[in-house]
Amino acid sequence: MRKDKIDLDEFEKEDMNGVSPMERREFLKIGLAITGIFAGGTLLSAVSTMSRVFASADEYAEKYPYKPHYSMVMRQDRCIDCERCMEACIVTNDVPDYGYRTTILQKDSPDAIGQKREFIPVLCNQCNNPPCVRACPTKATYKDKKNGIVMMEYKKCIGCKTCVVACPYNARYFNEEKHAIDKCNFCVDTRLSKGEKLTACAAACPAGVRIFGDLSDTGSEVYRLIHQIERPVWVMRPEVGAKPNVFYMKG
Amino acid sequence: MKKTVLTILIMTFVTVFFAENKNIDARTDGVSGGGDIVYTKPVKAVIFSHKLHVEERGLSCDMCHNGLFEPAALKAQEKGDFNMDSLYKGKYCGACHDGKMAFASNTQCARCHTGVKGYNAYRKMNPVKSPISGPKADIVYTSKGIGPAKFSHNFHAKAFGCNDCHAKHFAMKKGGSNMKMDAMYGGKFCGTCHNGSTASAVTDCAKCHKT
Amino acid sequence: MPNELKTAKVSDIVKDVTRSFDSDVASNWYSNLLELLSGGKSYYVLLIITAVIVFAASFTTLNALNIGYRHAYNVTREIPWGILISTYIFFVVTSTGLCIVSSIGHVFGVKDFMPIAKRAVFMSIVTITVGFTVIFFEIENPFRMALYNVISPGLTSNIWWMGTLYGAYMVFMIIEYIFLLLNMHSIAMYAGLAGLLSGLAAHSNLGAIFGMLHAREFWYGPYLPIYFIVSALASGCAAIIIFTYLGYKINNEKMDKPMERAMEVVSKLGALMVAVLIFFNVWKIITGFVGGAGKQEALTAMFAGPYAFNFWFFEVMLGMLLPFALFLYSKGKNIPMMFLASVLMTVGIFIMRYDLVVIGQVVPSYHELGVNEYKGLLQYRPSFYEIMVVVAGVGITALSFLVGERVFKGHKSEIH
Repeated sequence: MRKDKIDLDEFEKEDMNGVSPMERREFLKIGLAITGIFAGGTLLSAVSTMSRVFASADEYAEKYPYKPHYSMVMRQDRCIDCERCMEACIVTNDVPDYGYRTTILQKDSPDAIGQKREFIPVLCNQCNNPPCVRACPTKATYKDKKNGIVMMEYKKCIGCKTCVVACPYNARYFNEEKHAIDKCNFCVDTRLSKGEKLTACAAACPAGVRIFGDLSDTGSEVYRLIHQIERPVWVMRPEVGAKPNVFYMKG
Repeated sequence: MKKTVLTILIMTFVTVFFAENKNIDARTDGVSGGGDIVYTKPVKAVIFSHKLHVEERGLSCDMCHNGLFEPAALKAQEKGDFNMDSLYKGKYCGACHDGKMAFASNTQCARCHTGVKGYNAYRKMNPVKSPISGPKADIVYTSKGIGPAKFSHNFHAKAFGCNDCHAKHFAMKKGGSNMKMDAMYGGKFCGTCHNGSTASAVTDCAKCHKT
Repeated sequence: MPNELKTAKVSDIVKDVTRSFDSDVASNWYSNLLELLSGGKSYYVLLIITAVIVFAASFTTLNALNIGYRHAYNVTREIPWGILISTYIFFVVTSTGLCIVSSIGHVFGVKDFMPIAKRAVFMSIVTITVGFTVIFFEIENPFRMALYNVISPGLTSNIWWMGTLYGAYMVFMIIEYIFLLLNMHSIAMYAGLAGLLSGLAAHSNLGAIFGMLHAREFWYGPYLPIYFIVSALASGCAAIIIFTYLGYKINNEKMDKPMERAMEVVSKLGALMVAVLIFFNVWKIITGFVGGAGKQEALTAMFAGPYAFNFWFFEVMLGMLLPFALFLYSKGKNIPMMFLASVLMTVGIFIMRYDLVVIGQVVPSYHELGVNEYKGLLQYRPSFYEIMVVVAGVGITALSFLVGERVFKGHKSEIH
């Protein structure tokens, strides 16, 4: 196959000038449809969602008076599925190979223009209204009053798996070694209580996907990202009403 | 007289020029630069497709293999600076993927990064070529008037698939190609790639003919 | 009778009970136990077969404990509740139904329902015990439950309420049965009332376990607690018809007029309950189709997907339509036909429980994301070990029924 020698100067530029308005509209539609699904149909920032229920950020802090109020923001567009977060979690928290505390899902969009693949990390969302805590018969799982992390008291777990069914985010699994249900606890026992500032997964991510921090600290990165309305911020499955503390955004 | 000399010069120039072009054809012809390059460092994985860049986008070898990337595969990831910061500064892929020539390297991350899942899926379809062993591994060509030339299959098989060489340029049977240096200088056999641009020139005798 | 109760003191009751060990009642059931060993040939054979089944299944179950549930059972983190949960529900629902049916006679004094009441109470104790046995082999740490349910109760948990109330229910039903044996009907009546109330509360909490999970669209909603009560009544009617019919066959006796009348009214009640169930199901399905994507996908799986055969043949045909038709056609008089209807209904209801539990989980949590990992529906198939636990449960029920028929001499009661 004979190829003419290409002149670099005349090489087609891949910037926005070459994209027709129709194409742009189509792409936006796909983007809106996709993010629309993520946000349950509405494209809102987390803070504007919160502002529908709470009069102000202060009121929100009153209702959920955790200090520190541990949260995570996932900058989903940066995830490249290197899986260093998963490996770090497994090593730090002794996660067995048949289960996981955090994992990465892959979504393929063959009709997308340009990038056709995205990676979505998921883990326990440490909800403010956790369905698992409500459903536990022995209070083996409870929401820590100080930092808002949904904790496990392994010795009380009877293994009825109601919490596993109740969880909207498939965050829990039965751990044979502990003989109880296990899930992500933001590395509170393995890292945070030992003076570390970040969870293992947040520390291991080379691309800055997982921003972990204190939502009650108005100067923290998580607070800044959630309270900007320029780029949409959403949560998974808001319709369940679990009020998760893990937020997702792109850009 | 001057006109004749000028005509001969022009014709020689044109002939050599087209001969060079023929070699350019041979370079891109069938070989396609060496298939998929699977980078697993620093992160797993980025699968670079020569087919996409050479055949579909129409790039030629020297656009990248002119100092940006070594011709031998996977040399870039051995270097300590094969990371996104280098790309943003215009090194490696960033030389073109700067937002002007091609999409910027700080956008569309998952377009190149297939992740561990993509790597596993790719490896399922294209298992790692097991090192060729036995008499086929290294081939020693005895030559008249010079030391024997040693060809390492394992070294080449890391970068290329079997068809890259054996579809068109070499017979599968050892000694079945009946190779001569003149043919190589003309761009056949080893000279298909070893022309000084894609790989070291075939005129560099000591590189292969060890005494 | 109320006068008796007013003057009855604990010491009197204790005296009655200790006296009973010398009275006719005592000698009756003791000699009956001996009769057990010299029973009719076919009865003996049935007994042996059930006992063998129970032993075999028990050994398999113990082996499951040995190798660990992760390898023995097919439940996963995406589908953690399988056939063992549905079997537990089946037995517990049957037990509650039998309790309600018996209470219509004993507690509320409806004379027509009285002849079947005693057997119903006995079988409700048997089935609740079997239900607890099945769940014992489902949850990973059953002994912890006894401890931490008491010292660390989760009062917002439907499982806690269900467990506690069913425990109380079992105690009340046992007390009721003991006092029925002692012919002390007024105390039995109060025990029965307590059992009924705790049973109803426990059972609606069982429905609420599913109904209060907002994450599972197939189950979420207020109707499941109500549906479970109606379903319990239907199962209870079917169960008592089966057990009474078989009981009379085992003891080789013919039903007297009051018993036939009892069967008639039970079948009519059963038919009414099936009609209510059909109504419930129709509207559950219709409203489901305007539900969210999760609910719609689950319903499609039920209608036209992998669970279609389960639904149309077992649930609809065997579980509802055929029994309803047969009950009506029998006019409450044709007892073999009512027995057949009850058997079909019980089989259909067993599958109904299985479908309810499994279909609620086959739509993955992240299905709306459209990710590769959760593109379609999840799959679950009971493993051999799980099926063996079910077999053990059914075997124990059958064995206890057979033994109970002989020991308690056909659960005869005096009509007041």
